[in-house]
Amino acid sequence: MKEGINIFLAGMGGQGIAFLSRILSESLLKCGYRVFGCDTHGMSQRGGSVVSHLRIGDEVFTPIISKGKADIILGLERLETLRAMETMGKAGSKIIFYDALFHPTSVRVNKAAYPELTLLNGLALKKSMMLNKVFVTELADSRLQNTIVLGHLIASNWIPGLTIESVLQVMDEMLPEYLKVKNVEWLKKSALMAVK
Amino acid sequence: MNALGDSLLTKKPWSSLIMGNHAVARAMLESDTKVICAYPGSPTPEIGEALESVPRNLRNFYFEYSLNEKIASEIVFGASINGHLSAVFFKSVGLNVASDAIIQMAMLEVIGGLVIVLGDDPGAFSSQNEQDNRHYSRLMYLPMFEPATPREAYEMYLKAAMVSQKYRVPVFLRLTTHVCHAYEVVSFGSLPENPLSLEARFDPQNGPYFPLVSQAMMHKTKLRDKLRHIQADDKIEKVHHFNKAEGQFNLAGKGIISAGLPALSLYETMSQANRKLDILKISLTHPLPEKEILAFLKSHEEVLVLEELDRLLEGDIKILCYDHKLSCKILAKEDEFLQGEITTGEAEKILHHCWPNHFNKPEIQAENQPTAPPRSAQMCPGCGHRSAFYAIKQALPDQDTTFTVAGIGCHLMGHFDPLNLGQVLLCMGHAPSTATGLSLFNNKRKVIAFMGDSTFFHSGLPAVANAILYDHNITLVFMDNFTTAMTGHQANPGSGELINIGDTKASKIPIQKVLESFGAKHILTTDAYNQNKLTEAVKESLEYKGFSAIIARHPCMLKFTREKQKQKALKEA
Repeated sequence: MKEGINIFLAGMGGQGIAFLSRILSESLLKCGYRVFGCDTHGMSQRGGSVVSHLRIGDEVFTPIISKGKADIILGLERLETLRAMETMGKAGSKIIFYDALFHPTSVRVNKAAYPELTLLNGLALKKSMMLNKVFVTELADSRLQNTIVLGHLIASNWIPGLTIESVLQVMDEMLPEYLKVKNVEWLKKSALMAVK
Repeated sequence: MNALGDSLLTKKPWSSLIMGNHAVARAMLESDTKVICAYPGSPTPEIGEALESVPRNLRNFYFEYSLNEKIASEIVFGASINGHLSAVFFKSVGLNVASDAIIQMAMLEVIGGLVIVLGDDPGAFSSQNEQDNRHYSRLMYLPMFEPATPREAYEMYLKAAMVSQKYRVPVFLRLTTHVCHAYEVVSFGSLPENPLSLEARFDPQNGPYFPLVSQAMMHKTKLRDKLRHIQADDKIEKVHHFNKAEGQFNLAGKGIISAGLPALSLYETMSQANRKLDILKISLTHPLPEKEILAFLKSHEEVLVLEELDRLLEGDIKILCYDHKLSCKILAKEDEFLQGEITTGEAEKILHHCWPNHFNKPEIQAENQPTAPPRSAQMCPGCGHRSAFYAIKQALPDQDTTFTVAGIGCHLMGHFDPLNLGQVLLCMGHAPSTATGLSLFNNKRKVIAFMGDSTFFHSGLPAVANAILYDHNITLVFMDNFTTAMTGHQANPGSGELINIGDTKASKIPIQKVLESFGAKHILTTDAYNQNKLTEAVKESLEYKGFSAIIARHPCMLKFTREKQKQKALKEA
């Protein structure tokens, strides 16, 4: 029986959360996991928060992760990562997030403050979460940030049996040619980066 | 061909990790559903996305986004009485629009079969309300299936089609947001290889098809008979037994009746608490599978009825207990759970409340006071609506001189900071009429209403005609972006690219010409990026006494830039 793991993905509209969850789900399936999950669709595509629930293991009955029950959080934006930590995180949650910054309207009109990194670090310390920030200075195309996070997840070995080969195979099968080259290149690079 | 369309056309049985909505689309193909119509609305548009992914020359079906839910329902009704299995899909509030047609066709003989796929939205993730559409199955005397997972959505669509064809009655397939958007591995059957029939099969002898006043009572009796027969039909699988309680954690004499996603939340809770209880999961929630429920009630001393939203099953089951003089105690959720989804967290609380000795009080897991500021949806970079709202605001130096009425669509986001245009919102097409009401017995404030292009053709036309007919003193601003943007860029008569016309462009129906032919006397048109011109147009229109229209148009920039990027990438590759 495969161990049950709750993976929560958070970002904002247009960052490729659905893409990330799709590639990861298919890869986990290839690695022998039973997969059950759920994406947000609809209004969130207009620059709102976007989340995806991905649950693996044999004793999983609903596609939704309960509040405070995420084992792994993958974030594509700082504020959305903080939100995920607050609502879905628990003691022992492991987090990889790409430190992209997108100010919501509430911040732009001075009704709220955008979180400093220290806020996330403090929360991680307080709740005993493992927080890993990722940022690649030389990355020109922001659409590849989700692939960078995926590379780091593979290198983390948090999901037993998840191999880079399985992810590469899924990318090969699912991506149109014009997306394939760069995604494969950055998946490999980021997996190596994380190992270093 | 793209990957989705490819896989949907797989001839032999196959399995795939797939979203609920896409699984429903495959079920449509497997059941040989011939005519499918819809109006886009979350959580269902991905059914259309899947159908559209099948290349037109390979389609054995006809699919269109009709201009509203009522039209969509009427088209599939016409196709069904001509012998074709048909289906319609739309969001929760779409049923309000379609109800006039569906409540009537319920009593007529839909010989080809007709499935109504509903996307309900418990928790109101993408809707302006949280209506419980199970009421409609009772109001309309129609059967309703309620799947909990993508696999069940696929299977129950096939069942719904079968029941509909057998009993010649429309059947609801009620999905909810997290059934539509959940994904899991689903095993599919093969595609049928029926030769395409082009025969005209409508025959009034098959009826009734003509609900004369004198016939109405008789038609209703006939429909109620159909429901009774469906209730008694043992060939229809109506319930699912979970978890026959065995072993040391058996809570003897206790059981649960549930349906849809809440049943899975219960299962999850019990698995985590290491408890076992009998669960009767109902697939056909209307007409109620009385025989199966009675057997369950008779074999348990305490039964929790756990349903999402309103108390429908609970009432029905209490009546059964009373009528059959059963001693079984019926437990139910507390009032606070009459709204919102029943996920695992809610199920834990309800189970603890009912059986505190067996289920621990749930721990509070999330932060009590989250510090992350909200991130609401907003207009995209380059959005013409933002430019238009900014320009309109320049014409209104003092907000206290006007009332502003919002419409459904991306432009409702004008309501948010810092634009704050749009103070009242009702439903599709309401804006001109709500504005009219605000203008009556009011000489202090001018009224400005907003309407999108898709809404105009959906239900705005009669409202606009009414405002023009009586020359009501309002200014109606058309926020025209040439597409149904909010739900994923479906075509409409303003976009000139209707999907069912083939690769040739459909002829547009220009809003300005419609307004002119309706008799509107004061119409100003400008690109939404031309802010000075638009500001002047608003000033001038507010001075005008009577109905005035402004068309502020600019293509949806999300759609526009995505298409450009894709073209560029394809060229480079």
